[in-house]
Amino acid sequence: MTLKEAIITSDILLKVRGLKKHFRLTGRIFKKAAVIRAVDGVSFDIHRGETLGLVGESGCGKTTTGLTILRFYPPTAGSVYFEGKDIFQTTKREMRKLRQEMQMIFQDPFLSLNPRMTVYDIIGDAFDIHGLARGAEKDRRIISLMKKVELIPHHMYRYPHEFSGGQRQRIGIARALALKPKFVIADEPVSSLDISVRAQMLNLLQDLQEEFELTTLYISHDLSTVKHICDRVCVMYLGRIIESADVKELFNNPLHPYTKALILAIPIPNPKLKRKRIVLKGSPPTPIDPPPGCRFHPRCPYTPKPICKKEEPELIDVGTSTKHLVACHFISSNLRQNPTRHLEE
Amino acid sequence: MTQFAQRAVTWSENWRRFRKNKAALIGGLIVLAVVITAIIAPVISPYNPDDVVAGRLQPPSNKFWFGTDGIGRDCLSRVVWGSRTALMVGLGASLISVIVGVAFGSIAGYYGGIIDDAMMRICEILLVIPSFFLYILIVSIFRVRGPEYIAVLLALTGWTELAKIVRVDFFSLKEREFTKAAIGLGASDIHIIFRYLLPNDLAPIIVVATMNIAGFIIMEAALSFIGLGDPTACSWGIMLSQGRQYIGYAWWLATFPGLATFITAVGFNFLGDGLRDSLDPRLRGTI
Amino acid sequence: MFLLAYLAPGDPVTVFYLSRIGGRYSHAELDYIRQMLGLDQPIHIQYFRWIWRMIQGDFGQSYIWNQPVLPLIRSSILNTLRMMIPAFVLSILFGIVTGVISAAKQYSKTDHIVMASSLLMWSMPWFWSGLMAIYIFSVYLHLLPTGGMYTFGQPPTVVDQISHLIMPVLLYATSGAGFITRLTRSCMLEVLREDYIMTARMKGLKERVVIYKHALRNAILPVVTVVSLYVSYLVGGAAVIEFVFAWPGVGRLAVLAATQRDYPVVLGINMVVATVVLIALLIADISYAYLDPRIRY
Repeated sequence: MTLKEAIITSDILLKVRGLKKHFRLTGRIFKKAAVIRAVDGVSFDIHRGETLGLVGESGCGKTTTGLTILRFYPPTAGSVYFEGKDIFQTTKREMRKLRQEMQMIFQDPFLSLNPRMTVYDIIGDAFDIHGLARGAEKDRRIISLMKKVELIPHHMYRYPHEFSGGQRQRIGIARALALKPKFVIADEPVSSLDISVRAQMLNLLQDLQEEFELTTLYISHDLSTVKHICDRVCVMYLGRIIESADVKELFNNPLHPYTKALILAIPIPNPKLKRKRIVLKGSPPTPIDPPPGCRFHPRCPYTPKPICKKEEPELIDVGTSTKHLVACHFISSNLRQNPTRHLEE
Repeated sequence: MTQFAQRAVTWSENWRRFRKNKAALIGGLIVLAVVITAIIAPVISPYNPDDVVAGRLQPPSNKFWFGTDGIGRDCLSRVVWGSRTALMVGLGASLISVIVGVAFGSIAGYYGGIIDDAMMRICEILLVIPSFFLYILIVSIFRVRGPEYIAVLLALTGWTELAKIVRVDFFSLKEREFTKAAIGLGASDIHIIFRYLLPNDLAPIIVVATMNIAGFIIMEAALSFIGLGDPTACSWGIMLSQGRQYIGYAWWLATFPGLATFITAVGFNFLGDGLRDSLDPRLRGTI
Repeated sequence: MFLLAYLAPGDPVTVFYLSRIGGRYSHAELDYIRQMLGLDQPIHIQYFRWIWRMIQGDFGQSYIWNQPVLPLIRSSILNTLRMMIPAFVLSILFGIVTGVISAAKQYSKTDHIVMASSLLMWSMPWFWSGLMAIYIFSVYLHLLPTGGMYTFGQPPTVVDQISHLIMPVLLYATSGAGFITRLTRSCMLEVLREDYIMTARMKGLKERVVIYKHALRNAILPVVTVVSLYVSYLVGGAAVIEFVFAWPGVGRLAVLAATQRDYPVVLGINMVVATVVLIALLIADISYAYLDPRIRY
């Protein structure tokens, strides 16, 4: 691993190393079973109190990464350390206990709430499962959670379908926070909501992060929200991280051509501002058969060098003041020739 | 995905839809009538069903509306009391088959993999063995002839359909996000099955269980009819089989118990059909 | 199944001889008879012997009829098929036609009537309707014979046999038709929702062409599958019909054998019927491949 462990381990809440998740497609007889390499060797750290953004196009494996970290899927390879403990090595029972510490906020609030349960039951189920509170104490906690996510407490005996999308997402957040977790994965929590309520929801999330001292993995394809909420960002492409940096650094000085294209594609509410855009050719190749060498080379706006087609670039530190990692042969060769200068376009 | 959104309707809405379906309402009323008859059988039946009250094979008259049977018992009273047997067999067998089928289907559907494979083989074997001949075999071997044994037998071979439905639904339900959320909360398998999966699969279970009641009632009558029932029991099938011996000159013996069986079966089938239409649009029009 | 038979309380020898001859045999004599029939051997030896013989086509001797089981079953199965096949063909034809009509005019008056009447047919205790039919057509109207395969004491003729067949076949067909109607309708509705049906309609094809050429061809596949799954159930239905009309088929044989505890016959029938059902499933699989161009073996 080239990832430099600059920061002390005790400060790292979640450490992901070489995470792989492959799905086997059962083919018909006489046809070889295809393997989808949804997540193919992902490593990163999340520091306590930090919000890390995980961005990429749909299908790049960011949601699978989140689900695999929380062991919703059995991992193919790799390990995830939560407070120094490898959670892939825990027993089912231990894992159930450990889940109190790490929660998930789901993308679609229309699917993530059980239609046959009232809000009271949805939020309160966490207390039942772990035997944390019952009776009046449970009621009190549910009411306080509902207030915190700005829901009206006397709606607690209603069913999810009686709420709007935004309200449903608040229920989902309240459920995730019921156990007072240390770590939350928010998987596109606002992408299925109306634009008008997104900002509200993001502000609510930020407030709650502070109040609950949450460490968050924020998964999104929408860079504008990432810029708003995250401290650090990892960019994924076809199951791998290709660039990671401090949020300001990444937006001001994107190095990987893919990141550049993504950032330049963010709409800016100023029609007069002319920007050069990088339009990527084609759509991402399927993760069933990733291209050899650099996975991005068939779509790269630079003219790929022979090495791009042969060798997979490693994530290396470009040596700016903050830790800025990138996986691109253009950058690494440039660095080798001239270690102090950044690559010019 | 939308099918599940559609399912998230309140019971009052279900009731409204149910009321609009005339056939279902008729079915419900028939079932209600049969149930009431069974409950108040001692009050409304004119004679004791086992008493010889008149000469044998009296045709229907003012005194004996449905006539008398081969040894002079009142047929109306026997038909009325027979509703108890029929309901007991139908409801009992359906209840057992729901318990067995749902448990089997839940485990197979939730755990999947090898467990599921093995369990489905068992289901297939039960499907291939002609259940009717199996009943004949078992009933004749164990000399168990009472309606309660027949109910158990029927249930033990009649649960496969439910198991299959529950299994398939669980496959999709367990992949849904609200189930993931429950796993994420640290819920145990049992908690997930009972609080998240089963409540979302109640509609098809209720529908199939209701329609199974009709099937079980008919099967009990059929088994009793071919002489595999308890000849002393007061059941419609037994009356039919006795009526068969006198078909040449006492039409009433077979007509009324058969009609009762038919009407009861119609009631449960129409009720089940109506429940399906109102509870679960996805199943509309299937068997 | 075999195990079940031998776990049964009371062995057939005792039951048979005690009931028939009134206990005039001594224990020694009973033991001798058991020995003759091979019933004194330990259970596993009996079992393997039975399996081995079955593979060779020997299902043992019937205790009651005192002849080999297999020819007994063979002739009765042929009789059953003689009734079942026409009934089955009729019910499939009728069921598919009404199901298609019902689906094509979903929620129309015709649809409602077809659905309600198919549910009525499905709810019919077919043995009872058989009795009623016997009463009306045979006893009251003297149109048709009450049961059996031939009129006793008359040379067998085709007309005679057909007259014996009419009632059981029609009754059996109606009980199956209700089921197939509902099945066809639901499969058709499923198919009619597909995009390619919309395309076919937009091409301006006649509704009849759309339904019979495009929709039915695709809807028939699940119908075949489900019907094949219910074959064992349908065989059971046939047994009761045979009993009502005294048709000397395999179902009636099973019932008679069972009431007399003639285990070799009951077991043999179970085996043969299970095999027949398996073959039926296989045929369904093959016809599936024939109907579905995507599957080729």
